[in-house]
Amino acid sequence: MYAKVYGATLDGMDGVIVTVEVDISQGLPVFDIVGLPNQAVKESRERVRAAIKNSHYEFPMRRIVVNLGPAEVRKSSSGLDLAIAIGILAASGQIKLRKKALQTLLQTSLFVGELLLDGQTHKTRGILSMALASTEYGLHSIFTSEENIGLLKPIKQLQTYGARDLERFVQILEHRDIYESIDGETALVEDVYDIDYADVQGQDVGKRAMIISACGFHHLMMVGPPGSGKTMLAERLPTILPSMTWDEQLEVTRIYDVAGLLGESTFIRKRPFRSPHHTSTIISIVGGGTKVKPGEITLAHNGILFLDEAPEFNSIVLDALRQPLESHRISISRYQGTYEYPAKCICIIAANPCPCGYHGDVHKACVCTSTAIHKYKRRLSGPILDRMDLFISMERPTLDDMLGISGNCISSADMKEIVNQGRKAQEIRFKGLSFTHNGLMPHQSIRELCNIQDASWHLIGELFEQFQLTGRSFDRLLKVARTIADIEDCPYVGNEHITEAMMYRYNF
Amino acid sequence: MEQLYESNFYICGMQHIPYLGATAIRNLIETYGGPFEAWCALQDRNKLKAIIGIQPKKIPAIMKAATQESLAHLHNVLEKYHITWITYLDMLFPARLQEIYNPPAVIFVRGNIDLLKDETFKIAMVGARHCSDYGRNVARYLGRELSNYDVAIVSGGARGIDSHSHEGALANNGQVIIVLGCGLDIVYPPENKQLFDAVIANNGLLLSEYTPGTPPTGKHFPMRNRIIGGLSTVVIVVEARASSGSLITADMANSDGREIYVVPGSILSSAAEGSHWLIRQGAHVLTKAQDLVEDYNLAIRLVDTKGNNVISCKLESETVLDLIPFDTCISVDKLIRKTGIPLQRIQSILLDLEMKHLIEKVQSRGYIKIMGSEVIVH
Repeated sequence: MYAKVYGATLDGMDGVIVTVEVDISQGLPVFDIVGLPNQAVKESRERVRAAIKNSHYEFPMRRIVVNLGPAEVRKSSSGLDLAIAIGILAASGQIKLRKKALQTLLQTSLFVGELLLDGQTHKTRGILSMALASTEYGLHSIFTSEENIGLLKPIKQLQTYGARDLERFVQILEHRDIYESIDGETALVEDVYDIDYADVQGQDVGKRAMIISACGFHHLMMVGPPGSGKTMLAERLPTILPSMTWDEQLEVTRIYDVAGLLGESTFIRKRPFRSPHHTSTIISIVGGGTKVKPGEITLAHNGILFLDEAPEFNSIVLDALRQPLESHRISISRYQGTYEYPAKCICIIAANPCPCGYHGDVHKACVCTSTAIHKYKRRLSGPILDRMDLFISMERPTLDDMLGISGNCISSADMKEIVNQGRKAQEIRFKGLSFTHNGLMPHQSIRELCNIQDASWHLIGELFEQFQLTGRSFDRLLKVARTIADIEDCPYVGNEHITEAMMYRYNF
Repeated sequence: MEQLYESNFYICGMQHIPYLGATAIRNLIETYGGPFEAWCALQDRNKLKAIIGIQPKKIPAIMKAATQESLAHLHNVLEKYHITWITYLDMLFPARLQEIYNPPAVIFVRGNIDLLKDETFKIAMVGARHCSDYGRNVARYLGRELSNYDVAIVSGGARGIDSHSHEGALANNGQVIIVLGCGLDIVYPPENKQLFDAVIANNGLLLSEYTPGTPPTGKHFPMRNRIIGGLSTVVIVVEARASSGSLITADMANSDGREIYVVPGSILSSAAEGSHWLIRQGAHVLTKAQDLVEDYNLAIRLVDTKGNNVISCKLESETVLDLIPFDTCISVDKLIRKTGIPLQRIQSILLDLEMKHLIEKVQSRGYIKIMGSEVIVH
């Protein structure tokens, strides 16, 4: 007696469809699982045995062999429990359906769920990736725990059946026409934030820099004493970035699902803002661990990675960010295999001007020695600073600022409009190219794509001479100037754009 | 023992030996008749015991270190780094340095040796390493202004006031002497490498009493300060805190008969407490570069100075310039609020002023005005 069912496991970010073959033959009672299962899957024998028994079915006291394929993929998901249980029930003829009908049904369905001993099913990590893999594989129904259903709702061309326990799943299989499936439909929901740049008083330069950063995908560094609003500015950056497209939302939700961080929420609509603490380890930032999980840089995908107190981070951690910030992917090699995670985020780093935080403050004296300040600044290595396009300094707000008397109260909505408009020009410029924003332009394309006014080269020459610009800072200047010109809706880069870009040059 | 090197080189050899100071070296040479003889005496315990300035318990260490190999090594290193040495027995040894209390036995130099001649008027500038914006501005201003005259600015190449006075002088192609508290092959503080290179490139001079390879340790700095004061005719204390190293320098220079000029600071901040103490003790007060020029009849330097910075600018720029203080930084946000000029416009004004060297962008804090420029508004 033989049955074949489909389950799924995770391989890095991707779901992998696993064929679960069950064979029941005469012989001493044995229950074996073969095909590179890991410990969690091996243990599923006990769960499956108990769940079948406690769901008022009979666990066949014969020789049962379960084979998981493809054999070369290591299966690590406890979500295979349900597929194994259904396979055993089908092979032992306990599902009351005509053989032919059952076979076609099992051939087009995916079963994902972890079983408890009483037959109940559990939520599974990475269900979204598995569901996406199943549609690619040609399976158009998915049977999974009720708790997972919300997440699968927006997936197109997928019939979803949710249930709470094994018995119910069997009932659905037997009388499928009575039970309604949930058909996927894509609905793009606008993101709504409860924070707004209107909360930030003053800070004209800071807000302007945020617009430039959001518009041209420029990494940014802020320096200022404690309480100058660095975090406030940074955490509001998602509110002015263009809303995520459907694909972006799907990608981000998948990442959080795989990382097991989804909680109660169904789909992630807001751009992520990750702010890891400065004691974070390299593994927690770039990803890894014995059970390989995505790190903060991946969790910040399509959003913001904010490193507050950046000089306090272990220098190894900061240096590890260099490569992903450039390639927007991070690959992690472990003995189980190599995993690749997406990591496309705007990186914002913040620092105090000195260890005590008050160097140069008008009202509070700095107590650091010059050596201490020097050492503090040296902690940020050149390569990481090289990736920062914008540098701004902040100061503590005055009373006027706090009372909201002084000028600039531009809101996120207005800023977002400016950003969106600036992005339009970039869309046209980078059509058909491998990069999408000004901040991502490679060196060789900068001069060609920036469209700098002939008259402005004179100014650039002067600046180059006087401020002794390096090759990299020269590139940075042009890229930022290009974004400023885009914001101003100007087809060419002129003097005023270059002078403004010059204000955001490295200064720490 | 065979004499392999010229006689005076043995003084360098002795300087290279730990626990053997300038006084002891001079006493050795006087007692035994010459540098080579003194070197030979290092092998004799009884001869060493007779010398004042050598601690008896250090004698074994001294005897152990005085080897032919160390001499040969020193000789190679000096050649490798193009370091010249001048002993107190040489004609080139600056006469001013000879007359101080405890003059060095030998100085190692790199760069333009002509600066050591007594014809060059030397002005020492000393001050705190952790200086205020005001101190930094003053140091740069004085360094730059004084470089219009035929003087050399002497300082220690440390962080803070030292570096800023050098930078000011270099901005005006001035002549600079840096006296280090470590071997000339070591760059300390390390971030000043560019500065030191610029000094050499600009016909300046690096000087040290210590042989190459000597690390910068705490006790070297007061010793270095006596050379800074010793070389110079005038010592300017730009900004000194209470009980700081700059006060020690001023004190030593004063006992050696140098004139002390002090730049007054704010009486409300502790940054210039030491400076004010010196003024109360009777030091000269320096309020502009011209004070010194008149006191000493300094001659205008005829070659390649940049002269006074006379600049014309527009009224709008002048409004902004007026709001930027000399002694502390102001942020762009504040300037926008005070002037009402929009962000983009004010940024181009600031950059323009910066390119004219009227203001300066200070690391991560904003803008500060640079002293010593005349502005004509049109």
